[in-house]
Amino acid sequence: MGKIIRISARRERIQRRFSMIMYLLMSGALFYPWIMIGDERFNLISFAIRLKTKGAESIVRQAGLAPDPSYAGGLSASLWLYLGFAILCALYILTIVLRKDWNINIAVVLVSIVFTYMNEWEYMIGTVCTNATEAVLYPGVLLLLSGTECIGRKIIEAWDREVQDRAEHEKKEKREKEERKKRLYFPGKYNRQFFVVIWKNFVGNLKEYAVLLAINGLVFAFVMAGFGMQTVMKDADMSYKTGYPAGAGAVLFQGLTELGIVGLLMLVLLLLYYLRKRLPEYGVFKTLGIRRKTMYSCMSLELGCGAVLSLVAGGVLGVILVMLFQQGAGGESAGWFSSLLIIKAVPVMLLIYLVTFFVTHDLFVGLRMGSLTDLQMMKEWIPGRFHVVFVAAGICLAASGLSEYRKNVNGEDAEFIIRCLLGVYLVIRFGIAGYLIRQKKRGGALSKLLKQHPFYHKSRSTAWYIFGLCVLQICITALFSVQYFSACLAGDTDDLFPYDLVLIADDGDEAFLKEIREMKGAEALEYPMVRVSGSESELAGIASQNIGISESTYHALKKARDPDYQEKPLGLDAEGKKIFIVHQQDKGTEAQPIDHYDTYVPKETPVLYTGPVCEGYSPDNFPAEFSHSLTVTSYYIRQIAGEETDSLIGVLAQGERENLVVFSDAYFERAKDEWKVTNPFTGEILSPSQFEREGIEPKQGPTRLVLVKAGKEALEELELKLLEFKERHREEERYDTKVRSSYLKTEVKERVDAELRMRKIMALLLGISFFAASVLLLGIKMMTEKRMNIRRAQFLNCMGMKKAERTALLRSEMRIYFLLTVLVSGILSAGLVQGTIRARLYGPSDTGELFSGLIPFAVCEMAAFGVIVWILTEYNIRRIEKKAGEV
Amino acid sequence: MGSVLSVEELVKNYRLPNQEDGTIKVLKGLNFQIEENEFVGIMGKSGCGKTTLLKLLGLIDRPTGGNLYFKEKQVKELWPDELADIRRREIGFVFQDFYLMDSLTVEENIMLPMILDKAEEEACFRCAREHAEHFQITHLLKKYPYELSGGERQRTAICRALINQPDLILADEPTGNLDSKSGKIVIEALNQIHEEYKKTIVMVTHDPQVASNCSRIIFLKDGLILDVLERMETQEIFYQKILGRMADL
Repeated sequence: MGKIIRISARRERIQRRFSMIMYLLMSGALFYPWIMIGDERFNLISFAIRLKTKGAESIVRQAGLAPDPSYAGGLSASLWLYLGFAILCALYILTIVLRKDWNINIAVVLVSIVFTYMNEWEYMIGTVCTNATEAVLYPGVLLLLSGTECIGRKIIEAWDREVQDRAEHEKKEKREKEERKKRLYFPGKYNRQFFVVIWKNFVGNLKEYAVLLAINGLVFAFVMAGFGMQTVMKDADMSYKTGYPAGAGAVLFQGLTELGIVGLLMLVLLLLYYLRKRLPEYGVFKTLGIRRKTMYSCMSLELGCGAVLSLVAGGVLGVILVMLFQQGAGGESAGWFSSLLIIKAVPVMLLIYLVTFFVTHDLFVGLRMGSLTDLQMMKEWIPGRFHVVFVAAGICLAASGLSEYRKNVNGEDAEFIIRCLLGVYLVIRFGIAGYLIRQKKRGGALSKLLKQHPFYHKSRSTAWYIFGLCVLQICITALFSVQYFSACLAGDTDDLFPYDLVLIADDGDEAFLKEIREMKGAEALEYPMVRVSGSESELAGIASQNIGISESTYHALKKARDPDYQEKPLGLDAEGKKIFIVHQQDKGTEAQPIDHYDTYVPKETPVLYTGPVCEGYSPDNFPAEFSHSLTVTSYYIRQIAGEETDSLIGVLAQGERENLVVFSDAYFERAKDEWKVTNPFTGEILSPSQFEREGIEPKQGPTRLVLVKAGKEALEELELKLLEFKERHREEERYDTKVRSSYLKTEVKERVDAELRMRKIMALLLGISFFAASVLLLGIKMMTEKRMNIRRAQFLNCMGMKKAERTALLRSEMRIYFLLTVLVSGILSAGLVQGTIRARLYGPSDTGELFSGLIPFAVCEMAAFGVIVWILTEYNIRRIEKKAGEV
Repeated sequence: MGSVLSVEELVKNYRLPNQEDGTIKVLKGLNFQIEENEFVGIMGKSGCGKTTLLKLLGLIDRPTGGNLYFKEKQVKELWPDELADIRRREIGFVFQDFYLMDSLTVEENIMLPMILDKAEEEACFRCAREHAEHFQITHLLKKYPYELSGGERQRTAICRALINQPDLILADEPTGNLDSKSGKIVIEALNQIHEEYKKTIVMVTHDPQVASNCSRIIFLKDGLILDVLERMETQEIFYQKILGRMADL
């Protein structure tokens, strides 16, 4: 209390001093000669004397104003106001001295507001002053000082209250701390037995802990390996240097993201299982009165040590993985392992831990897993109606997903796979429920009661487990294996780049092209071309750019690749509506539509323009019905008459850009001149007079496709000269770093090699991880249902059922799991693989080659899965029967 | 004689998950006192709130409303660690499912409350042995709970409940999982605790035979006290009375 009183007295003293200073300043200001009449200065007193002695008229005349009797009244009123202000100030100073709290300062502020406002009224002092600025500022300064004093006092008061509150709070805290110390006094140390008990209790769950640790370690190993591989690949992956579209880095990133998601799911599942098992044990400690701090310390130590151990083990494993990868990839990036790698990987892992913690916490609380009731014993909800409707909906959903997935234009989008999986879930959930309910209603259901009971009793869990296993199996057999075997299909990278140098040139490069033609050891092929650009550049950022050629050029390029090539008409029209597309990508790359954009959804009828991208073009500027009309814009809706995946001039941008768009010869001739009537910024068709009137210059863009084959020496010479060529085309390359004016085989080949290697490695890594995840999922299913199965076995044992019959029941349950998984994942995998083949436009020979690797692999994988299911089932049966026999 | 537990208008509600206004009112305002050295039984149908009441009396859970006094201390005003201290030092628990830790030996299970109370190691062993001798399970001390019969497990749990010499023993259907022979042994043990050790016992049970050992029975119905029966006569007559009262439940 004494302290608070002291603080208040101090605050009042500070307030008084502050007010005194402010008012002394104001008093001083009252004597300041701020009124200037002609050349003469006055303060308020001398001005009042002058007014009294010589009258208002003389003042007005001295100020150079027309005399007016109203001045006398106005000036007197002004002076009375100031006098009032001065009196109030004096009174306030008096109250400060007398230590009274009468709030006169508020009146002072009000008066100062009044005279500040009225000072510039007609006939008032401000109007007779020759120094207008000073006359305006002076009352403002008085207002500022009085206002500051008022606010300052309040601030001091608030600050003081804050100090008081803090003091009170500190005191309360201290009191509480002392009380806590007194009431929770618990001296002494835990004896050795305490640590023995905690350790033995922990060791009792060592198996589960080890699994949790192993998965933790694996996830961190993958994170470490990802960052390490990225460093190793940095030199080989040209995407870092050239802005190459996909690149090994992108493949790696995608693969690691998939791994991360699965790893996270596994961590959550395992942690849930672990907590469900461990918390009841901590519950015993809690009931017996363990201190909270002690219990939380034990739990934190348990989980913390696990995290540290798994970080260390995972880190070592990650380093080994990168070393193996480095050897396999032949990378030469020495010094990839650095503290930076750990600095990058550990925060990512901590983030994964954080997400795992929140998801686990929400699930644990939401599903009431901490409840003492054994949820495993509770019957799960089984959908009772509309099975046929939901199963049909699921089939439709999966079928629609598959039909969309097989279209090249959809670029193997994950959205359609998710749609398929959603359909599969509906089929599994409602199919199983419908079957079981129908069986129950039929006569003779009792004979199958024991066999079907686990599915009926746990219908939701069954559906989730089978669905989870199906998803993992589909990923292995239809996605990662296709990724691996299609990367093998890509073949020799030399074959993917038939020319040593590809130039996208124009008429201005004639001199350079002439040099090439005359160069010894170099052979150049030249074809006419136009740039073909996609639409919606303004909305989606970067629009696609491709190479437009005529049908005869296409045949010539085909012939150059294959002398036995037989020409067939492509069925293109003279209006340029129909086009033929050559997707220039290797067979291992995902399908990519012609109008590929970073964020835009491509169309089956792409909108394409023959010329460099018009950066101001937007479909919003032109109604859709006009977009193919020559009278409005040069962007037309095209129909794809045919398409193929091939590398006629090289997989320059892996199908994302630089594909070949083939027009009929007749249209190509017309398209070459289209730039002459097009606004290069908007794509709008303009008349010659409009060009002139608006001062717009037409822009031609590339016209020549030059394909060079050169010997080593000639190539070296060419590389030097290429710098000048690149400089000349710098403006064209500015728009999109992924589209270049020249492509050197040596540069691009290295990049594709790295990418293909990375595809294979990631496919293998993902396949192995997903297979491990399947095993883990089965393991978790068995572990969580163990207690329930033991009770069932004990009950059946008591009822006189033979051991062979009991084990047959468990085997039959797992057999159904296996068969359903194989059936569903087999059907969907077949559909997805077929879709991939269609989307990537594989020919019969490619398909045959793909299947020759894929089918044996899928069979072996399913067989391995079957063996794992069998081993786990037998192991589980042994454990259950051991307990069942104890009854 | 002071009261060990005092209950005034005790209310306990549970919130139903995923329902905004869904609460289950388990206890709807109970009033009673339990004096020192009493042997009180709590009876009622399944779901009437017996176990919930025992959890509240054992300071494992907190009441939603009303007052609960443990040795005249208002439970509401105690901190969680204080409740833990009371549970460890002043309350012994005997559960239907035994609540023994399978990873610890019988000896370690018995001395667990003492270990958690930072007792001397030697004292822990000595007390565990003494209690084991008293309840004739000395030969089981080095065994694990899963190697014992139900009766042996419950006697282990009783030893554990007594090792810190608590004033109050709370038993939740201690004979529920046992055969009649083992049940009899456990009831004899509880009677012994009550008579020899002079402990206060609160026992939840369904069995009128077991309940007839109590000095007072509180009958619960739908979260309220239906009746209280005091034992004034022989055990047999009391048993008959309990049977009669059970018909109203």
